[in-house]
Amino acid sequence: MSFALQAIGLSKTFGSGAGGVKALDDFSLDIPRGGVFGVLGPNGAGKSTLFRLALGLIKPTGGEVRLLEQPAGDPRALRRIGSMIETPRFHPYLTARETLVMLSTQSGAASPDIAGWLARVGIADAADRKTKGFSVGMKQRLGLAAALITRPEVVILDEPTSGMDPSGILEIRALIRELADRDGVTVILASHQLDEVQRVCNRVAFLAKGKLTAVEDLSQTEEKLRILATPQAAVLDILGKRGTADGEAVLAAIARPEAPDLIRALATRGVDVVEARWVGGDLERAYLFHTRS
Amino acid sequence: MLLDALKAEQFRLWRDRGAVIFGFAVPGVGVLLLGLIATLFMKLVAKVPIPGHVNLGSDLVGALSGTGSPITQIFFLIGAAAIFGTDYRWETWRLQTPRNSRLNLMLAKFAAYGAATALALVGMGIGGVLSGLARAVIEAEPMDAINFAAFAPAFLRAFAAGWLELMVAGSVAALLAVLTRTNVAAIIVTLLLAFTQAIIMGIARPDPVNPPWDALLTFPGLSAQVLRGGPVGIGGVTAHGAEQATVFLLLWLAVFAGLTIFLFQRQELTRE
Repeated sequence: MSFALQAIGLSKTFGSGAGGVKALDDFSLDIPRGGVFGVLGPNGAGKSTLFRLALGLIKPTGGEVRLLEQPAGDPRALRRIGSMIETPRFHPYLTARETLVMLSTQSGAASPDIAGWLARVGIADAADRKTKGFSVGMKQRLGLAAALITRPEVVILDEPTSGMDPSGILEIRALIRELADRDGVTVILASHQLDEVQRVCNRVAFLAKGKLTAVEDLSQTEEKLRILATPQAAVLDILGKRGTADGEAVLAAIARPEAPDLIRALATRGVDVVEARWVGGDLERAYLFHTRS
Repeated sequence: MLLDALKAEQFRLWRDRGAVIFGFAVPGVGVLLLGLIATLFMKLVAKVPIPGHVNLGSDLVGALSGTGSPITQIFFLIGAAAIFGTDYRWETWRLQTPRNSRLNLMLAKFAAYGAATALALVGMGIGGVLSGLARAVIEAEPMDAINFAAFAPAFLRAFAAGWLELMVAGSVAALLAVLTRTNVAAIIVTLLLAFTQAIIMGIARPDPVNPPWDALLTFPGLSAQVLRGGPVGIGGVTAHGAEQATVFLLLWLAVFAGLTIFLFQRQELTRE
């Protein structure tokens, strides 16, 4: 198996002495090539630090990080990856197109498809506008185009949809899945949005306090219908083994086509349904379990 | 890969209109405007002609000598800060360092600054020639023929001295930009150093014809003056030690540029 990113006993401490902060502590993780790999964890868990170490922006205090099986910071490996770390910022006097020309030139990319990538991230209309007037969402889109302009084998995206409107979030989710499925790009994605991770990732790693707490295969998890209804007992009775109590609500392990029949059955039994929504219950629970423990 | 970094840096710099205009175009325009104002003042206010005939060769070399002034250097420091400090200011190193080696990225910045400075010196020379022509027209003054045998070496020395002196100042600004990650510190501290050097040179008063080597080594400004021909060059005497002065200017440039690259290669870009 070949790896997109490997962390081997990786440690990073910011500052020294008693005031030093351990961002990563003897952290080890193998991210295989292919698909979309999610990196989850609360603020300060070490996600951005891991990415900055992999890209050679900062140096480890201990251990090793490898990108495409080359040491971190190796220009040969770096030229095969794309990255967007936190909300990107750009030289305000350059247009979106000029920004991509400059960055692709710096990478030594031969004939980059600048217009094509601007269109794919949805800012073709703003191609010749200076980036100083860009909203956060537009900057995120341009950052994505900058990460992808060299047609990388691996792309590291740190919160790629932060600051975007709902329709933008949906577009970018679709783009991420398309990159993995159609273009064969390995996507390493950090996000706080569990729904996003649930929908686009194949596997996910949980980080807490600078340590890896778990790695899960999301194909093993399934979404559930969370029903808030009274009486709860009637709902559990109808669902049988497929229903579990979740506080005042019930989690129904059913497929989407079964939902209308279930709602009808509940109504027929005189159950008052206040709310019914699909949730990635397992990922939410797993997140809380792995990041709080 | 160095060529890629250089092409990208040149592309970026020429689109940073503020840096190009205030850093590298103003000195040439300033030479022209100051020459015009001086000529008009002497003719219309003082009503005294400027002594001597118009000599475009001397005007050109004289314009290039303006690089020794800390006032002129302010503009080049603005340009240097815009080149070396821009990626800290806009937090754009994180976009660039994964694309090329840090050594190449910083060498590209030095090359871009060197090229822009050379062009700015050409601009200053053109400004000097144009102000000489304007004086000839305003004062109806005949022009001396240029003695190319004397002009060519004086021009080359003035150009080399100006360029090296500005490269040393720019490399100090580069080091400060990387060290402090702010443009303001890069400009202000380098400028303070230039003024301090001028004051100490004024107090120490090293022999202008045969300056001691330790004075040449200590003061890049003195080395540039000697390479130019020295303040006594105007009187027909040329200062000795141009070769030594050139070596010392190159040494200062290598030290500051080397320190800048050394520091940048080890710098943590947690947040630019």
